[in-house]
Amino acid sequence: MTMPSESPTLTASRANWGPMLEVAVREVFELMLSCKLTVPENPTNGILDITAMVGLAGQLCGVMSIQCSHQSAGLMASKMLGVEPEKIGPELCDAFGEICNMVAGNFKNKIAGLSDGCLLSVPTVITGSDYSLHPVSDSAALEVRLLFENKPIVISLQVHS
Amino acid sequence: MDGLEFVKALAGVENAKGAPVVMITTEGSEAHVVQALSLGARGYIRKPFTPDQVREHVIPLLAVKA
Repeated sequence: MTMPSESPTLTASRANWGPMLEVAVREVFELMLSCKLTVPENPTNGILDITAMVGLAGQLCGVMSIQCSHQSAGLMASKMLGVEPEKIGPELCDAFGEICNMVAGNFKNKIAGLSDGCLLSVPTVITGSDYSLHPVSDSAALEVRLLFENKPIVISLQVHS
Repeated sequence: MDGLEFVKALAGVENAKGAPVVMITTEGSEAHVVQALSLGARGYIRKPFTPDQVREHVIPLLAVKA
């Protein structure tokens, strides 16, 4: 099976993808969670025991993922659904996956010519941290590290051109 | 079933005919918007969205219903 090749326009704009990814993340958190993300002053280590992933296919193929602590994901779900954090149950994974889906969608819609040529998969959420991801990819991941309520979140885009 | 399939299926449900549907989706392509509207959706909001955007789409539909 042959995959659609990446357009020259996309390749040329790649230098801006890092800032665009950060803007895409910030917009989702500000509009949907009423929450401003901050930049860590120092490299931060923290618990990252839940991961949401969304696949991209078409002119841009790859995987968008968001990692954070289970507690942070619960707080995100709480803010998005308007429910007390302690009342968040199984909807945590739905909400966290949806946030990743919105980030991926918002990011691709910011890249000229991509919104028509790139489809998103249904989100997948993985709990736990004892795993390794081995994407079949030919480029380094684009990674944005921010703080959500002073706790680390890592957003990465692994592109397979 | 995705949102487009739902809109299509809803059009075939007797009791739901005429019910206005506003799609809220991450899909931002023009083709997707055109397809949604052609299937009967009355509005289309891209995520992430603001409360004002929802009001802008929903209030006119409520007025028509009233």
